[in-house]
Amino acid sequence: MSLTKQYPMQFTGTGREYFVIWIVNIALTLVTFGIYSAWAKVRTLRWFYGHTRLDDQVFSYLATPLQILRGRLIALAAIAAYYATSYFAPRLAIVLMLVFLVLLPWIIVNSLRFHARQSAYRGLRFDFTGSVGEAARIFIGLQLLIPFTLGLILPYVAYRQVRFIAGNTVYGQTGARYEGSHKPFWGVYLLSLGLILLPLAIIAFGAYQVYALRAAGIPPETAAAAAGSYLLAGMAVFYLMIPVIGALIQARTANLLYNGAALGPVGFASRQRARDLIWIYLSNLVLIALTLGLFIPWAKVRLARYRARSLTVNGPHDLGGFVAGQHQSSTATGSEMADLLDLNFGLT
Amino acid sequence: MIRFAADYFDGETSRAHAVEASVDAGHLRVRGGAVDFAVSLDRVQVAPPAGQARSVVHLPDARELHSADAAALLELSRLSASARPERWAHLLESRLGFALAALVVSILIVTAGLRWGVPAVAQLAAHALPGWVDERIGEEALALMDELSLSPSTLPAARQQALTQKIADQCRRQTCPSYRLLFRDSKLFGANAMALPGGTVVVTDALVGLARHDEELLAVVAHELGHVRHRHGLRMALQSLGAGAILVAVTGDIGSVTDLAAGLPSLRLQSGYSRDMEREADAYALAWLNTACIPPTRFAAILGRIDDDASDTGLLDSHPGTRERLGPFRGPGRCL
Repeated sequence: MSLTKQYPMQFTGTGREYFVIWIVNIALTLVTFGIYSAWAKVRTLRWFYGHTRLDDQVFSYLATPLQILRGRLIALAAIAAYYATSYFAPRLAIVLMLVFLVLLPWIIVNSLRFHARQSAYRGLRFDFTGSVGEAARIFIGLQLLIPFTLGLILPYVAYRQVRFIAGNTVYGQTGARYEGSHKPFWGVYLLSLGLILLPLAIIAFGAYQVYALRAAGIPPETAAAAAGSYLLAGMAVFYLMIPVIGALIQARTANLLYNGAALGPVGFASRQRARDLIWIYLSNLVLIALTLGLFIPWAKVRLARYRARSLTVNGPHDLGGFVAGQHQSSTATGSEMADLLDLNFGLT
Repeated sequence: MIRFAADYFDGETSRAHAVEASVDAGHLRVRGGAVDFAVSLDRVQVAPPAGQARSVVHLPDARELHSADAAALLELSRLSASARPERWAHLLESRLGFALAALVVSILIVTAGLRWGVPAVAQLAAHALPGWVDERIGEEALALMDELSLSPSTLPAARQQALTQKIADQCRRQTCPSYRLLFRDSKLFGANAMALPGGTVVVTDALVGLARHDEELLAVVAHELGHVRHRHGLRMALQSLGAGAILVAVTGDIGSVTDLAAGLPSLRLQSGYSRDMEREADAYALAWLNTACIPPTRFAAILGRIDDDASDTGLLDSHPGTRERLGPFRGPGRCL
């Protein structure tokens, strides 16, 4: 008998159930001039968490709507101040922009921390212990090096981000370790580079054809027309490759994050596949367009179900041995700021 | 009597204890295995259940009860000190019919909001905003257009001067909003005139070329002064902002607020003003022409000529009913 047990992650919500919650959220948000949006967010997350099940216990989302509302208002005021000044006092706006940039690591850490602290499982909260200094090194310092290294450092930056996020997550009192290496990240980005070179190769071949045909004495117009189809095909493949690469990086990064992380005696196995994600995104997009948006709840549920299905937790036969950490409060300002600025990081 | 099965967590470890909870004499009693305690109901917080998702009852000292019995938890939340606004949400979610009604109401609110609400609020906001706001937006827009789509006028300085003088003379005799007349050449806009927020009126060389009488140009400028007078530029900017806010409320994607604000400076000037705004500007122009003793037919004449020239867009593209709109300008006018 093995010492560990496999716990599949499950998502038990249905699109029909979420549709009702979703449409009521929209209606109440409209009626209250947007104020209800904080309640809507909490309600939505509570529903998604309450349907995410592991070892027959669900996750819970603990933030209160008033926390979200306060964070949202502060963040909105800051962004509004920035846009107003960028309009009426551009020089002041540049100063504000620099202030935002300096604050960015703080926003990132706060957002991750708020999100973690409001998430709980089996009565114990998560936490995030990453420092603002390390966030600054990774999200600003290393990021600034990308152009100077012609993007070659990109896989390493992605690795450090994943390590920062996974390695600083805490459940109760138990801190997670990130044991993954940076090596597999190079593979992901190398593959992405290969995929983006494919359309360029097609176009280059087209250009070579013009040269070859002209050398063979074919008039330039005919040669160009013959090569035009290569250019067109190259462009088509290029636009096709953008979502493909996006899904590839998303799926592989999620796998590397979970598979390299360990939480005390617990390990993870993540099996997301780029082709599955592409299919889900693409079919969701078509169905949302065909139903004028009414399919959105089902689309979100499909994605949540796929993400849960792709994750297995390996742990001891009893998950009841985790001990609570210190209970700390935090504010939603950083998290709402990150939402407003469309910053995307964290666990997928 | 409320009674439900639950998993109890003591807040110290991740161990689940199967318990039964019941309400008795103002207390929540939790019993099962080695667990047996009671908590006063006013110290119990129920996270309002959403759909069939399992919900949480918060007890003091980070203790929790998890239960799938949504009906019992809803009942409990009525008894205890729990969040109120979500009761409405729960009521609406309880029947598909209510939810569909919410859908219909949402569609009606969005439609009515876009058609009447946003313009009305934009007009109120425009009144509240000081004049320098329009001027700043106008300056930005002009700088942008000078870079992208306008080039310096090729009209002789004397001709520009004469036209500027004629309008200035008129504006000494009747009330005009404060304005600044500029001449520009533009391939993109063809024969056209534009009122920017803050009072800058741009007349293209092609429009001057198309006019058969200076009074026709005065009529077009009068129409543009109408836009300036009613601050249509600022109102359009505020309207697109308001429409975006509704979009954010519907999609719930608050991130797009920033895309929205980024779109503010572009102002959609080229796509012209709304039909109501054109009507307002027309009414102003008609009164202006009457006071100036210029036959209103001058306006109809030059607009008809621009309309015939299919390559021109801008002044007319947002209002298909040009013929109908020009009705009042076909009469003899009321020169006093």
